[in-house]
Amino acid sequence: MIITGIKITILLMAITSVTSLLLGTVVAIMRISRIKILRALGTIYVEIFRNIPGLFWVIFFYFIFPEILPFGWGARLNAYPNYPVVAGVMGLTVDNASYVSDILRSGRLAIPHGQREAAISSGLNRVQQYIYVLLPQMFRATLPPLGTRMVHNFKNTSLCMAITAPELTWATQQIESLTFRGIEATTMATLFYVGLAGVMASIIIILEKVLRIDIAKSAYQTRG
Amino acid sequence: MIKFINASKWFNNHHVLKNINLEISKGEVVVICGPSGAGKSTLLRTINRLERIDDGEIVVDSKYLSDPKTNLTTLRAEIGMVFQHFNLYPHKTALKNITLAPCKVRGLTRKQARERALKLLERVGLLHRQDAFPSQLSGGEQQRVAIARSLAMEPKVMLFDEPTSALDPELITDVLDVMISLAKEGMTMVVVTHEIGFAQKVADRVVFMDAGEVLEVGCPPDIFINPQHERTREFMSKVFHIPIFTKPQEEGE
Amino acid sequence: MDFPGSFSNIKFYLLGAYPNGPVGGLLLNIVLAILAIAFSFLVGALLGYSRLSCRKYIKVPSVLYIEIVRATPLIMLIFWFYFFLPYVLGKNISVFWSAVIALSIYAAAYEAEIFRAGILAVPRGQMEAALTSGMTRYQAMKFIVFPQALKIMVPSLVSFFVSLFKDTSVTFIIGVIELTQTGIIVSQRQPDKMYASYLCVAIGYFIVCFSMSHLARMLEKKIGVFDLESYRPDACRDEYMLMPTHRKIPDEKVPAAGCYPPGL
Ligand SMILES: Nc1ncnc2c1ncn2[C@@H]1O[C@H](COP(=O)(O)OP(=O)(O)OP(=O)(O)O)[C@@H](O)[C@H]1O
Ligand SMILES: [Mg+2]
Repeated sequence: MIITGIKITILLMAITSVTSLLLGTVVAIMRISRIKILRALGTIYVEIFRNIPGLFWVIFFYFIFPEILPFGWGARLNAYPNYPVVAGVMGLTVDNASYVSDILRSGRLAIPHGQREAAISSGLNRVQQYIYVLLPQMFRATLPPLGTRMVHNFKNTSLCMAITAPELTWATQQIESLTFRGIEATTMATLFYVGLAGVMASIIIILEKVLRIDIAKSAYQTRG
Repeated sequence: MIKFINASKWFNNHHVLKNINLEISKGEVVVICGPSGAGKSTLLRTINRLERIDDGEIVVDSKYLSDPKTNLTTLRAEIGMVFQHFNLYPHKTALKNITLAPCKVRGLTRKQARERALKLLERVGLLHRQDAFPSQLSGGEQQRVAIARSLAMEPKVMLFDEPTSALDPELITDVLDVMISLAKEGMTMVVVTHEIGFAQKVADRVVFMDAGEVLEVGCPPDIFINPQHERTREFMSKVFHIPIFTKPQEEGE
Repeated sequence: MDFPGSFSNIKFYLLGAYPNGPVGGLLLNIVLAILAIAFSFLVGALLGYSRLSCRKYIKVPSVLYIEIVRATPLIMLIFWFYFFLPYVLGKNISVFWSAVIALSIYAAAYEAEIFRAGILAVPRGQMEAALTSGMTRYQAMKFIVFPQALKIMVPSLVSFFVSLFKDTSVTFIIGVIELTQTGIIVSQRQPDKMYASYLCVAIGYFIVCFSMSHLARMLEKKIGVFDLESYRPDACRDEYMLMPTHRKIPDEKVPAAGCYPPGL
């Protein structure tokens, strides 16, 4: 049971990291775009999802979401045996994406004006500007807070136990209630969380060392 | 009063003080000058052990700094220090900045400390600004408050680390006037500065440092006008904005 | 979509079964967050402070505490205290108190980081000026550095309060009747009003968090932001030791660039 739990936890973490990064990037771009409606939508998204706990969203996608879907899709979802995991992925994604977009947006503000101007004058169109010039710098400049966020997200996978997704925390509770050997299971689970969080943190520090050098230099130069 | 004996200091393999030997007696005013990065600030900061030295010895007021029995706190109370960037406490008014240490360290009552502080504020010409916060004071005013703050502890030695180099030119004289009057009263002073006028007026000796070494020590005219070292001559010519003399004959600049 | 039930339901959301039963609902979330912050404040300050010490035996335990707690999911902590504290204490404690203890332990680690960053954000010259005027490290810390650090920390503390407030929702798992639990209870009692009951929960959280995070943003504008998450000083600063040592400390440990007064 523990092993399945670990598998599901890692699966949840991996999927939600990617999806929330994607969604967060989209929202961040919306929030820094010139089009007013997009900006407003982005802001509304962030305000809603940041000011209501992640746990609520996980529960929301489990209980409410299937009900409000039309054409009986909801019933089909409910019948799907792994739906708790899917709901967990959705809940964690929307929650984490709001943080990611906030972080990325602050990264955009840290990029000196000259970068955009340089990109424009070398003839890149708006999409190209983002892909080749702005986004890479946004990610690099915000690597440490993004990393912290991803570790948070990893810990938040434990929220999915509330909707009976069979991840690690849920597994330990099952063990506790079935065999009363909760102490061992909880100790193991805690060690696993701490260990993996540590691994994630060190990966981020290494990434930072590899990627950040040039950014740090140019940022200081422009600040004078 | 202050004695450096073969003092050396490293910052990660970077030898910033090289075998410094220097003695400063009571009542003396010593000006330290030299190019940026020469280690002037470091030298000054070792005197009250804001930096430790790695080798050699410093004796202040006949107490060895490396001696574990030396009480650093009481020693520091006898040494006033004025910083380039004032370092006033931003959350306290000018008056409170001055009274804090006398109350807490010397154990004066509030009233005594206040009286002393007002006298000092009057002396630096800032009596009317006693209730201002540092952010409401100009740089020159802040620096004069900082000097008053140090004086409130009635120190035996005053250390100044480029006290005027962060100030606008027209504010410098106010600060220098305070320092000059202090020097004339017989305060022992160690001053890092490039204000040649100040040095010529009150300095007993000038120390020229470069790359962590004391290159020359002498009375002001000797160092400024008739330096022995090539390096000193080069530096002075830059400070005075005049070409290097090979054979200085005329007096002054 | 009409409102679930009557006035008594709103009261249930806000206060739980209060006059007749225990406090619950939104108020309980707030109470939990406030208690946790209050209990953890001193511990957090001490931990943050000792993390700056150069002495291994002070620094290492606090680093371990902070990092381990920060790497453990809150739910795990809550379970530890809910299931295993009774074994250790030999008697049962109420769900509410085990939640408060777990949240405090959790908050202490985060507050420690806020404290540490706040202390390090005070320019080094302040400590130096205080030391030069003959104050002890303790006095300099108390009168000079700490008051300034506290001011710098206020926006971060408010933001942290918001996030702690949201985290209190997790306590519903051990059966604390806070807002989320209230919503679930109402939706089970009146399945026809399910949407509305969840909507009420969402609105409850939203109002509190929205206003608090705006307060935090306002304070940030007034006091100035400092970015806690990307702030990772590994400085170990001699002058923050509780007692000065005369042991020679190798210079590699002295902080590089950022900490030296800006003049250099
Ligand atoms: N905390 C520190 N860590 C590492 N190196 C330092 C530190 N403080 C000073 N240094 C180095 O020591 C050398 C001497 O510095 P110092 O501040 O004493 O020079 P200075 O003569 O006062 O120069 P300036 O006129 O610019 O103030 C410099 O090369 C400086 O880079
Ligand atoms: Mg200097």
